[in-house]
Amino acid sequence: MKREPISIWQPAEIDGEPVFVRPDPLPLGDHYAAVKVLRPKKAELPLRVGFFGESVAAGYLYAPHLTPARVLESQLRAAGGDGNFEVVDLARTNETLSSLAETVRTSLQINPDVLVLLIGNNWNLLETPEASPYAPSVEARQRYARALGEEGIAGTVRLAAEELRAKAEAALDFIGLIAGAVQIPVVVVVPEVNLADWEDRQPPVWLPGDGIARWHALYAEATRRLDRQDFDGALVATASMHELDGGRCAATWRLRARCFEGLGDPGQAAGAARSEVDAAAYSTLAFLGAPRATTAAREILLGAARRHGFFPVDLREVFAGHTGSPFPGRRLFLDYCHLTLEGIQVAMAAVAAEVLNLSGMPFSIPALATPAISPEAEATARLGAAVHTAHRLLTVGAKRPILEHWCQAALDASPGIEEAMLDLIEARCAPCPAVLTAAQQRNLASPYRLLLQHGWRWDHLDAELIEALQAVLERRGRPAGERIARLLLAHHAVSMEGTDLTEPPYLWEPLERFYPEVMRFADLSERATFRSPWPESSFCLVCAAGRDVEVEPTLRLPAALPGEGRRGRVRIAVNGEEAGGMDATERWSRSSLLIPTSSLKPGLNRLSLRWPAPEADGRAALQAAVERLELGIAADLHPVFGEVFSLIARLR
Amino acid sequence: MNVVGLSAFFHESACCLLRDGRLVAAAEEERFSRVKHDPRLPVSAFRWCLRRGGIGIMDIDCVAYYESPAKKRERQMWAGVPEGGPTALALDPGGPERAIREGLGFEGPILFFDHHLSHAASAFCFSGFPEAALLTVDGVGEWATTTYGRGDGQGNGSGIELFEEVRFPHSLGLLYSTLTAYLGFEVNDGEYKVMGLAPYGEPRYLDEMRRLVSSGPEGQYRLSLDYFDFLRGRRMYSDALPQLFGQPPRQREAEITQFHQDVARSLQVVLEEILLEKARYLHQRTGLPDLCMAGGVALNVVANGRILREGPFERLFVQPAAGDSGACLGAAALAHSQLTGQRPGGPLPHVYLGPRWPPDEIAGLLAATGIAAQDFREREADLLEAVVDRLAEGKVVGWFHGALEFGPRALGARSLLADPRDPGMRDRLNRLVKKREAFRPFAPSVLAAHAAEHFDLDHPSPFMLETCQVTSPLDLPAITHVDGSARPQTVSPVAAPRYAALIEAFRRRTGCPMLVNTSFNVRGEPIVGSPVDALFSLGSSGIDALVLEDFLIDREAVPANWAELFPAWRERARSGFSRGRSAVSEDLYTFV
Repeated sequence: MKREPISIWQPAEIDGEPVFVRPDPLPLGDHYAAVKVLRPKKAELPLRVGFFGESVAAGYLYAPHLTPARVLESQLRAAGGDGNFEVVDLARTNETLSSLAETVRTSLQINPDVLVLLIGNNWNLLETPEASPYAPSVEARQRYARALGEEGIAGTVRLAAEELRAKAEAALDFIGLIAGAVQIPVVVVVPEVNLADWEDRQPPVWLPGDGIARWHALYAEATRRLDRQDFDGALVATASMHELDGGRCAATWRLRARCFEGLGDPGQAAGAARSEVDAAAYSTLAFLGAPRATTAAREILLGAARRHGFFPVDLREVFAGHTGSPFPGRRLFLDYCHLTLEGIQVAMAAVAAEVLNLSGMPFSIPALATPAISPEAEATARLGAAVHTAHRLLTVGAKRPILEHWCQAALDASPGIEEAMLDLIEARCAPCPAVLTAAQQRNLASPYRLLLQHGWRWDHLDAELIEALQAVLERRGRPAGERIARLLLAHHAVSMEGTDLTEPPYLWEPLERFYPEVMRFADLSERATFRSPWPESSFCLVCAAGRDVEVEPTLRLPAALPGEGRRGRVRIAVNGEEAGGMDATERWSRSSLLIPTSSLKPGLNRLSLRWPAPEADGRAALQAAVERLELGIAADLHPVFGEVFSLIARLR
Repeated sequence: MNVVGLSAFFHESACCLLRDGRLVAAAEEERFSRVKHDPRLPVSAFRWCLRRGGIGIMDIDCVAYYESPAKKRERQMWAGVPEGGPTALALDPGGPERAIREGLGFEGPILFFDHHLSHAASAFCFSGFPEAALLTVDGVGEWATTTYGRGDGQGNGSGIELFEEVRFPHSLGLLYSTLTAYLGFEVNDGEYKVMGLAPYGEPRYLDEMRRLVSSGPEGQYRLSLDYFDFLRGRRMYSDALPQLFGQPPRQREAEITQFHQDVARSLQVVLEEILLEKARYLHQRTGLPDLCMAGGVALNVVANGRILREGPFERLFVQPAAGDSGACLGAAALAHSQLTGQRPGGPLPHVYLGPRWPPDEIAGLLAATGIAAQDFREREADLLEAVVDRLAEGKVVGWFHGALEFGPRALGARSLLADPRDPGMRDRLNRLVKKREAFRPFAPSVLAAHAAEHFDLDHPSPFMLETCQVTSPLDLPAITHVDGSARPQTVSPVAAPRYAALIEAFRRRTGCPMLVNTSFNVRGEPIVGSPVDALFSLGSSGIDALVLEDFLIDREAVPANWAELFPAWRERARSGFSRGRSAVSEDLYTFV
């Protein structure tokens, strides 16, 4: 029989033995396990566990130093005997359903005895790219228009859910079929996600009447009350928000989760946070969320287990049992879904127990031993968590505490990571991609080697992360501020000629934009402008001490409907303090504002544009979106608060 | 009066800015996005043109678009929706306007001009000729594939009249592209490879070629459509074409045989015959001594050389960005004429119309990289001598100086330079640096004052757009093609002072007043635009040294692991998240 590749492992021969060999890992890491050679099984023992899944299964941020597969193997051996178990790691970051099914099928060439699948976090736009108002094909847009026109947002949710269910069930049925044919048991690990420390601050779609203005006013009220720890009052405000958004807005659910958390009700908090995860699904909203298993994913996995006799390991129950809380957070998760060392340990112990049961061999469950990992690798994973959090997390409240938590945790694991932190800052401040920098070269030679998975590659200034790193370093007595200011000023200080703060490096929260403007869609051109889907847009302004800065925005307030007007005042704030404003309409206008040096910090400043809320009737705006989609034209379902062509800052 | 010209949505999108009729800036989007032949709305080029002009979006008086979407739609609908191609709705004639309004944010007037009229204006308005015959030839615009006309700069407006056209599907451009595909090269990219292959062959297939295309009366010609399949959009040629030649199509990267060379030669010969015949017709019709050409076929430098040498015209101006990217110049010129009644443009002294980087910015970049570069600020003569040292040692030098060229040719702003006398240089350049097919020739940059001593060339050729015979007393293997021809760029100190000074320094040292000049890119990538692009090229190719304005970097100064690090970094950038305003790291956004 002709041998086929297994994932990236190609058929080969070593000393006459047929094996499968993968290409060498890339110097900055790749998406696959670092195991070079896969060999067919030769003897009954050890029992071979084929381990499949997405980045959580691949040990994202820890790999290659530590992977769940290796932890599982060591646990199986500790409990069931050293020579009795082996785990073959075929997990892959960015895994999709179709390639998973293919990898499972081809893995039969190396004779696994048990299959373990840890999947479900990636079941988002990777699987249903056409369930979107920005879908690449005309047909998909028209299909989306029909769903939106006939049933509203609920219709688009249904559309995506049906597509996902069909695709996922087909893949799982296929796996069930082939596993059944060779009588291999399948363990399905149902993922849990970070509920306490990951948030999806996403705005609602157009709401009927003046719903948008009212929703955002309520949002502001809820956050004010939360800041004052008036959780009951905030909860009342979120109930009104719910009435407006129909429970389909992730941000409302997050506020409610925070209210319940503040009120000491983790069960309700967890429920609200799970609804947030479901509401943030890519298919209904136009923003880049984080990969996390939704309720639908969980139901599909449990349903497949029932249909095919798979053995489920439900991490929701496992983690709740372990921590005593239904509201998991940073203890078990590094970010949205990737596990901490403890999370991996606990999750794999549950999987090991299931595999041991299935093996039919005698075993004894020992006390959980902490997986062996160097302090440097642990620190690097935690710094990676800080970077991911900085880049992807949009919070309803302050973001700094969680960033500082991970930066501090990295230092706690290994204080030597200080230099890697400073190298990271230097690379961010450089006027070139990080891979070209001297900082990268130093980091590559250090024991805290940051790979691409740690967010090494980033085209923005990373303001929040820089500030968090500076804070924790200075708390440790490392005077990093001067060095950071010098780096920032060397390459980014505003000059007499002027710096356009809408250029990519200076976006304070690069993900606070519409999805196609953050990540390219196949047939959608980029935009020459910055559009804000949120009432406030922030930019990094770097300047030296002692000079006033003139800011010259060219901006407009886009109207929801062709031919409509819009008028309002855009307020400008520096480091949270209002510094002035300008009147704006639906057409471009240009103004200039002097910011005195007394309002500016030497180094990094946060310049914000505060937009008036759009006042168009949301129902008409959504209808206009339906009409565009019917014509095969991509459409926004969310209001645009403001649009900036340029935001020039220059020294005076 | 600020007029922005745009070409977009087919291949090689580009943008230019005309201020009061004068060309201020022009750039292709691919130089920013790093996507070769990037056809998308030229967002980065647009923003850069405004920045170069010191204006904002409110200061633009008009945007001029290089074709008529409605007419193009007519032709597309006539041809039928291609199999596997976009549906009828995707062929939306409102698309370009919507993109300009929504993608660029432009609120003012938009003017649309026919594709070949834009080509014609791009050549005539920037030729400096008071009047001229106009010939445009490409694959297809709206309906026209070839147009004939005259330009008269004396009156009001653009003064352009196109009096005859050849209509789709009869097209010399599509003929050439079809054979390009048959010979195993990429359409809209490999045509110049076919041209480079032709001199290796014999014209053994002229009869077959003449069955594919036949000349007609006046300016007309016809394709025998049985041999072509581009109307259905599946592929360029039908099954009848391989049957005609008796050989299956060449597969990409397969060996190139004598047969392929002979087909290329036969195609080139027939193309030249038809173009010469039509040029004579055009001359007879206009009675004018000067000819302006544009359109993708006008980039066929071998044919251009023959038209000038053997044709009836005294002078020839080929717009240097003769392909679709350069049509934005014509659209902008036509808009200016329409709005002001004045002829814009004027002679085009050079094409250094893109971004430039001040030396101090480069110093900051190099400081961040930690590379030990030699700093020659305020010491140009020393820099040139240091570069000549390396060239004379047989090294390949990446030369990054001044404003980026507009158009497909590197003309001494983003060039790879080498000694043309070195017998091994051509193979070395092809193998280690350009990583391209071994048969392709390299071109020389020669000091204008010495050009006639080495080439059969009696006029300036600043844009490298014609071939001529090498007559040099020197042995110049790196730039002499198999048929004894070359494609020289004549360099004058007025248009390119530092580049001319470098060649002069090389002449003083070696007696040779020219250098090999090939575009600064590696295979599959656009010409470098920024210093960062140049560093990436240095790190991932066999370039021996790099000049970034006033700084010189020897390969030894470059971290050894760059070659290993770059491919993963850059491949990931390409996989859907190429650079640009929407750039976000794919590596972070693993969907995990």
